[in-house]
Amino acid sequence: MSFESWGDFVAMGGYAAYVFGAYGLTVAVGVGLVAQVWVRKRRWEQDLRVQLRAQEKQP
Amino acid sequence: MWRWFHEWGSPRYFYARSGRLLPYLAGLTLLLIPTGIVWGLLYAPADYQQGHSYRIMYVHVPAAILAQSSYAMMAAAGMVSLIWRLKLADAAMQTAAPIGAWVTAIALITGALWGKPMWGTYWVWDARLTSTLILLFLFAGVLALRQAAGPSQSGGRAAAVLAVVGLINLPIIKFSVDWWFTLHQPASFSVTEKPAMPIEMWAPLLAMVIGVYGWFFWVWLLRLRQEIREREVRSEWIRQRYQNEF
Amino acid sequence: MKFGPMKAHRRTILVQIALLVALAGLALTFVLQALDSNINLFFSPIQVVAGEAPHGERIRVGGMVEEGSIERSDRSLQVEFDVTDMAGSTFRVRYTGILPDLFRAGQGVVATGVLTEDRLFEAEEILAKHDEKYMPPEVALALEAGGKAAGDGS
Repeated sequence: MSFESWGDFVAMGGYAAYVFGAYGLTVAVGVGLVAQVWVRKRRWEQDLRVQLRAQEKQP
Repeated sequence: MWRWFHEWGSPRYFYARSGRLLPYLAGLTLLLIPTGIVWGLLYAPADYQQGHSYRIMYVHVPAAILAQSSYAMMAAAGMVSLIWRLKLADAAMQTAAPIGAWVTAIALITGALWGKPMWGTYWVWDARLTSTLILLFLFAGVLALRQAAGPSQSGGRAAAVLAVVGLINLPIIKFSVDWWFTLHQPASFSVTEKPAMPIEMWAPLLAMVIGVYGWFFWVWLLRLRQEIREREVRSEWIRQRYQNEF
Repeated sequence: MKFGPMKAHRRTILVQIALLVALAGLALTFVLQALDSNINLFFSPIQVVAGEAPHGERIRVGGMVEEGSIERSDRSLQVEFDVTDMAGSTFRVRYTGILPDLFRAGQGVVATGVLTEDRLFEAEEILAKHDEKYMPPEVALALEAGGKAAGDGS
């Protein structure tokens, strides 16, 4: 560990806003892009399910 | 070789085979990125001049490297789609563009967050920063042209041409710090020389760089597979796949 | 769709793309050459000393802060220092305000302001330029103790 205490870590040598801002943004975009595809896939599957059911009812 | 190309070029074959890669890419990402973040934020030593602010490097440098190589991959897909009219390559180009744009934006913003305390400014119009901003515009341009063209593959040709011509920007980004006076420092790593930092500083960086490549291929593949699903929704094979599931 | 050793029309497309990229590259090379001095973010000490940097205009200059040249005022934030290219060309910079964290002797600096007389630059903004070297503090101390300056060589 290159910090003496958790307080030191949170202070980040006075650069906390910049450092945690940069990491936070990066992680948010990284997670966000995965989540976005997942949501798009779920919606699409729901639509398809409705379509396929409708087809089965009227052969 | 041509047979291989032929098989993988078919969306159906690609879709069936590529799914197996997903767990490995997800695993690589989820293993290396948290490791790199904890290592870089907590365990890597502080820098003698920049103190703890240099830790931004562990997200900035991987983002900047990935921004450029993802552009090269997008342009390669565009080139294949121009020459062989391959639907899959067109879809690959289209799905790489938004990811690359986000990665470039992260490289620019994390760089600005580093620049403010260290340089004294968020932004300066030097050759490195400006050419990287142009990279973002190129990604956005390819994306906009491709979206405007609609689902037809022939509509994607203008976007593919832009992607390929935009490759010229990559050597400009790379060598901008050597060709002109810039505020941005020259590269710390090269193939021929020792890194300009000790191993306890570059090891977490290496973990992050490999991790973001894993992430990129993971997200790209997820998006590409979704794009194939949507484009091929009328074809029998995709309906059958789902008929069994529901 | 058929694949096989490249067909003639595919080769034509490839050649067309290659030509387009080459042409665009050539055009861009000319543009960048013509703009060369505008793309450079700052004038170097040798340009300032040789009189190539315009006087009385808002410009940027850059170089290394000379060791031992920094003079701070006791009563205000005014600071004066020499900027050098480590090859004999040096000019003086005067600035009033807060300096970036990385500003120190032996480090690179980029100043925006006006060149008033020969070799005196009145700066309104100072940016620190950092080099590509990273080191833990203990290593830097050890190097210094060993007689080799920490930020050496750039």
